[in-house]
Amino acid sequence: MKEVKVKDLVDLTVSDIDSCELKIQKIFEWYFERIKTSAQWILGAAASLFVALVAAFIKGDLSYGSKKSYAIIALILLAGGIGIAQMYSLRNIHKQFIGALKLHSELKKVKPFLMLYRQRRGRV
Amino acid sequence: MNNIYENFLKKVDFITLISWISTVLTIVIALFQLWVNFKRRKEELNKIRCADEKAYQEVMESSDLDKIGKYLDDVIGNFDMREYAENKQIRDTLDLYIEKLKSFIGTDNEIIKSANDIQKDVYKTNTSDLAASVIVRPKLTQEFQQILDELYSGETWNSLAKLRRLIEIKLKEALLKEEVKMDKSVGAGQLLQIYYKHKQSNTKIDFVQMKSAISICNKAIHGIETDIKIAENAIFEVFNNITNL
Repeated sequence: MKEVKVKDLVDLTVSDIDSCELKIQKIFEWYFERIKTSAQWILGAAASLFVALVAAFIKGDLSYGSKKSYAIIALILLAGGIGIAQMYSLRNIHKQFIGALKLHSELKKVKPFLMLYRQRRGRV
Repeated sequence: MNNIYENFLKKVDFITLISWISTVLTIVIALFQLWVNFKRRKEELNKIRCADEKAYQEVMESSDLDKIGKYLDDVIGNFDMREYAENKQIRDTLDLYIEKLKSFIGTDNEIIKSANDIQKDVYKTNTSDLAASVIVRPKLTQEFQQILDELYSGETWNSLAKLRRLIEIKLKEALLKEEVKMDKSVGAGQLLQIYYKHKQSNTKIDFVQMKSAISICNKAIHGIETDIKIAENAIFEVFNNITNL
C-alpha cells in the first residue's frame, strides 16, 4: 500500500464523506490484513521446513553437518526472521492508525480554512 | 557443457539446490528491504530539513493564503503516517505545527465563543456594531492602504490576516514601550486585553471596536466568508484606534 500522507488526511477532511474515521479504519484494516497474511504464510513455510528437517534428522535421511542441512537451516532462519519482522511491523500499523485518527480530528477543527485554501488551489 | 552440468548434479542434489536458491533469494529480499529502509531514512531527514521551524514561522507570518496552503500541502502534507508513528522527531514536529496552525486559524468553538462575547460587549457598552456603524475614513498610512488595496483586489483573507498581524505588531510595540512583559506567542486578542488591563481607562482606544475588528479578522482567517463592507470598516476602525496607541 502507498503510505497514507498528511495530505491525504487533509483531502479526506475537506471531502464530503460522512464517516471519514470509518474510511481511515477500513484503509488500515486492509493494510493490516495484507501484511498479516503474508507474515503468516512466511512463518508457516518456515515452520513446515523446520518440522521436515527434524523428521529427516530423526529418520536418518539427513545427516547433521551436511551441505543440505546447512542450506535448509539457513532458509528456515531467514524466512523465520522475515516473518517475525513482518509480524513486528503490524504493531506499527496500529500506531499509524491511531496517529491518522488523531491528526484527522485536529484537522477537522480548521476545516473551513482547509476548504478555502484547497478551493484556491483548485483541489476541491 | 553437459559434463559440467552432470558433475554439478552429482555433487549437489535437488533439495540442496532449491534450498540454496531460496536462501539466496531471501538474502536478496532482506538486502532490498535494508536498502528501502535506508532510502526512507534519507527521505525522512530531507523532509525534516525542509520543515524547519523558522521556515514555518516565516510562512505563517507572511499572511499569504497561497504560501501557507503550499507549505501545508508540499511540506507538512508530505509526511506519511509510517514516519509519524516511527519517528519521534517527525511526530513532535507535526504535532507542534498542527497546534500552531490551530492557534493561528482558530477552532470553530473559539470563533463562535468570540462572536458571542462581542455581541455581549456591544450590548453592554451600547457600542454600535462594526457592520452597521458609519466609520470616519481619514487618509490611511501606506501600510493600511496596502491592506485596503488587497481587500479591494479580492484578497479578503490575505488582507485581514495582514491587518491582524499589524495589530499584533503595533500592540506589542506599545506594550514594550511601557515595559510590559508578555509571552512571545500571544495573539492580537490577548495583546489587546493586556494593553487594556495595563492602561485601565487611561486610553483613547475603543476596546469593544478593536475587539470586534480582531474578531472579524479571526473569522475571515478561520475561513468564514466575510462581507467586504465589514472588512473595510474593520480596517478603518483599527487605523483610527491604532493612531491613539
